[in-house]
Amino acid sequence: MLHIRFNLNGKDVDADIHEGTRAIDLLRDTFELTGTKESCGQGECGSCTILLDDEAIHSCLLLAAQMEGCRVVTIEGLEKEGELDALQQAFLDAGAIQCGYCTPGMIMAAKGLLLHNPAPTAEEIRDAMAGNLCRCTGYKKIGEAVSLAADRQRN
Amino acid sequence: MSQALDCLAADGEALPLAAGTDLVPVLRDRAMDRARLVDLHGLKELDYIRFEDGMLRIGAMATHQSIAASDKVKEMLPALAHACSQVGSAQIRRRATIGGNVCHASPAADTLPVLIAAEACAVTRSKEFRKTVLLEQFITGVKTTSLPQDSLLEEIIILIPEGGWKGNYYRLGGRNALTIAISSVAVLKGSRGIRAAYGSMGPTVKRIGAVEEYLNSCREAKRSILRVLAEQNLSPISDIRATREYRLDVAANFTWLGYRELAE
Repeated sequence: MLHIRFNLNGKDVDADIHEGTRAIDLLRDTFELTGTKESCGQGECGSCTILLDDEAIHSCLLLAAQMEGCRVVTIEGLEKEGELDALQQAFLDAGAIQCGYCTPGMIMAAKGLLLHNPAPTAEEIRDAMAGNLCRCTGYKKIGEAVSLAADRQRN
Repeated sequence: MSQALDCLAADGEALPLAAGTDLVPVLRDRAMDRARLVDLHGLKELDYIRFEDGMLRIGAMATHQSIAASDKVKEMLPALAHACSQVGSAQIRRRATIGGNVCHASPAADTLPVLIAAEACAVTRSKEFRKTVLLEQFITGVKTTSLPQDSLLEEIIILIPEGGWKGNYYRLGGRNALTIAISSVAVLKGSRGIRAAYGSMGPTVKRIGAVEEYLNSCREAKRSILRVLAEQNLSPISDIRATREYRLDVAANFTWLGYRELAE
């Protein structure tokens, strides 16, 4: 067993884990943050995307132990004082949701992009989101939602 | 570094963990609670890209993203920057390291055709020794290397010819992102002529001497001859992603394309 400490959605937390526990399992099972979804479990679909020290990464390819000392943000950590993050609102307004399973991962991948690049081009959005699969529909509205959020945040 | 080497030497079953983007899914499918891992994430001293004494030196913990974005790499070995930009997705490139990609030794690894064509060397460290081996010899089979259990890959060294390595990396996947190469080829030109190395075309990524001799001596490369040389020297499998014949066609066509682009 290992004891780890990290910052989760703005709060300092700690946990006892097995060496082989994955980050996604700790987040979902122990902290009950089930917004982070698991689909492929091997880094091919992006539905488990979280922010680790402001970088969008796959939580299914990360051991919980690797979160030691890091700042972790999940989809649940985006809302501030009852107000949705600009990306969450933009996904709603642009109709960029169908079944919703890929949405948390999409939004976290976009969040990582906008933290580093507040004014991305359509191509930069596509590149940042290329690791997130949606099986319901096309990607057009998702790209538009990210663009809309970026515009709103700048103005 | 010395602490990580102590841990590996003390526990004969411990595995080094770089980012874990290849290792974590494998562990999930086995009895992962018993895994003993030495996390290398703290080895910031191995996260570098330097140019010294005519050599490009890339630390084992340099990420695909940082290599893809590096002005030094783009100038001296642009094919490597391009290859690194083709790996997985942004989420993976941000964390996954060149050391992890090399030591995982997949026949489809995107960095290997370029590194092997450029005659890169792997520098390994144990508590007692520091060794330099040609990367083509470091990789011994499908996902196996000659790296002893008590050692770590420290860096990759590439000798840079005057004006840099010309040429590019070509890969075919089923789609743009998150796809394993069906066939990949690096066609590079240095001070001693053209080099060609092949990925996803056999158990290990390798150069083909016969192709290089042909490209360096012919007046104009013919696709039909490259196809025959591919057939004679490569051993791709047929699987769900592509047939053996299709992979050979693609490899020969990429070689021809690389040759043509070098000539332009």
